[in-house]
Amino acid sequence: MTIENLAGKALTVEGPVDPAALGEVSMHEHLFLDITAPAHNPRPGYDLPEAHTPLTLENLSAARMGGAIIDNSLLGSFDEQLAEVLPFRYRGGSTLVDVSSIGLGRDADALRRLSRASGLHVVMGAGWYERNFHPANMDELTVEEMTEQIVTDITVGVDGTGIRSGIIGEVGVEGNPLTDNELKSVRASGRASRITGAPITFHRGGFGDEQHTVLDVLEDEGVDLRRVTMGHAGMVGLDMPFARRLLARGVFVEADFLGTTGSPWGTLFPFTDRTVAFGLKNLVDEGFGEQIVLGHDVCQKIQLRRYGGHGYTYLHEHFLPALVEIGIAPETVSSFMTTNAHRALTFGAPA
Amino acid sequence: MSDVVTVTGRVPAEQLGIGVVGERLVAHQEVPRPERATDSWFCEQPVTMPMLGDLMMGRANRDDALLEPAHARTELERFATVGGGVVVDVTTADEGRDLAELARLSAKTGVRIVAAAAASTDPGDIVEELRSGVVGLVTVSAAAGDDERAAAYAAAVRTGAPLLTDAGDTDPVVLVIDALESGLRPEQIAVRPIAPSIADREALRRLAAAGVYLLFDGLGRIPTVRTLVSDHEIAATIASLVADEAGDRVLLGAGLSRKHAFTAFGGHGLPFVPAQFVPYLRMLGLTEGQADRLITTNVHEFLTWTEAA
Repeated sequence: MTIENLAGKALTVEGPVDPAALGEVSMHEHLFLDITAPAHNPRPGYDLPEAHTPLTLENLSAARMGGAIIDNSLLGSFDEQLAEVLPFRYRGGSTLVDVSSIGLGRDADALRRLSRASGLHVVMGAGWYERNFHPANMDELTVEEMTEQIVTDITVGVDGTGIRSGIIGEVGVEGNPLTDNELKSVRASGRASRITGAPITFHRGGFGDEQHTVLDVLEDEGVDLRRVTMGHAGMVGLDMPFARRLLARGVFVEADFLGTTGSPWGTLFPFTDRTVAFGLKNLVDEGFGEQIVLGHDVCQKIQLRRYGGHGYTYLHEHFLPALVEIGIAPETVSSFMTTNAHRALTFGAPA
Repeated sequence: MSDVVTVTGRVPAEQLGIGVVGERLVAHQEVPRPERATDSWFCEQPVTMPMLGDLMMGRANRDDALLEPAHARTELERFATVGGGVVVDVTTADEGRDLAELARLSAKTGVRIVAAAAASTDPGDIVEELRSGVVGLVTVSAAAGDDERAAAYAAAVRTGAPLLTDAGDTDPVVLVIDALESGLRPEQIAVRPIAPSIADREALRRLAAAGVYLLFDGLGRIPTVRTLVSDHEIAATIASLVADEAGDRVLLGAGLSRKHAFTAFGGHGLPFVPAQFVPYLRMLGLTEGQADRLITTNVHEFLTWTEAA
């Protein structure tokens, strides 16, 4: 099989583009998503009658607190999603990276239609999400089979649509401890990245120092770590000794899940988006500003404007201005969603 | 222990159950019309789900500031299901305080409500309200003038009623010294410290050591990048106060004042304090007894009238 050399390009659902043409990029989103979980691993509470009620004002408070409401876990209406992403474009956004990977209802056809209807570039994900969403036969899958699947998604297209994935991920690695299946998924992602030149984005990528084990596997497979994004890493700037060691390896760190109005764990945490903002300032102050990317990680209906959330415009409306206010230079803030993201989406040469 | 004065009459303090302080249940608050056209349009729309994101970021809306009995009733019912027994309502007369409506809500839901006296520059007016038997608290808003403040202090001194003062931009220490010099007893006073002073734990310790209650309200706001002091930071501050044996001086509240904070509109509402915040304090190391007293004994003791001077 000959692999098309996309070195220096990014790959959207419409095909290869010059990364600079991507404009402002949100690196971690879900436009169509089904996290109602596989039948072989149901989520707690989903068997209760109240879990089967549609998301309305009646149960919004419960949903924000983490109540099990199946409707909250499904982003499936094309019209609703189009209405949600258009304001991102009106605010100046150009590209959304949909990191819905295998097992999360990834929908290539809908993504391309949404891209055309909205005028936005859309980059589609590949690979496997976290272990609760692994397929029932995950134990039997080999690294070779998994690699082949990812390579096919990137070079031929997803589910026979001819629409190609432009990034591997979000690759789910919870760790603590790392499991065999997680390490298999990491190795297959790394191998597919080397074969195709595609970038990789992680859901966490392991717990604490396990991230180095994960990156070691990628290096072992010949991956250039400058094409790797560690997602859900918004807090990394509050632990600079850890951040220095991680960023020294060349990866991007991503602040995401920003502006959420609720989560499976409610809203009371030791940190807020403001804490994350100050963490990013720490990173910039130490010279790591070129390794920061951003996303909203809309993954529940409650995050959508229609359902009382901030949708896909919180970065533009609230987060970016706050970063400037706390003292990060405007051009640096601007680079997070532009030049940094462009590099994070750029393919290397196949090897 | 003596009685607490609620909108439905006197109640022995120990019968009150879990309580929160500093809420508005029924109110019609003023909202200035914004400058820009799209903001003005937004300001006049009735609250719907797609508006909630903007509302929680502070976008002005008249309906959001209109707190209606039906939603208050739902809130009180939900509060009762997590053990809620008393709500201290601080709605002012200007904001449409409605004692009869509060009494109806209390009777329907079983949750006791303590209402605040209407502000006045004449202590006699406030004393008269306090002696009506349905008004159980004196409040001083951050915007109160010197005359209003002095009248509130005098009325609390004359009646022994509890007094809640909002520090606003004032140093809470200065404010409390002023109140004490007016003859108030420390255990009669609760002060609502402003956000920056929450970071000043030393000032809070001094206030608590003087015997004054500290009200931490606004709990359960959904945090954003604009949230200057998060619930976690408040919880950590409270944990340090408890460690300094000031845990008997802390009061908690949701600070309800907008529709979007009510559970009927997706907010965390009153149940957040007992159901989320108090367990979080336990996670930070408070014992069950230390955490529970913040929403029980402390509230009961604060609301209990002292001997009139």
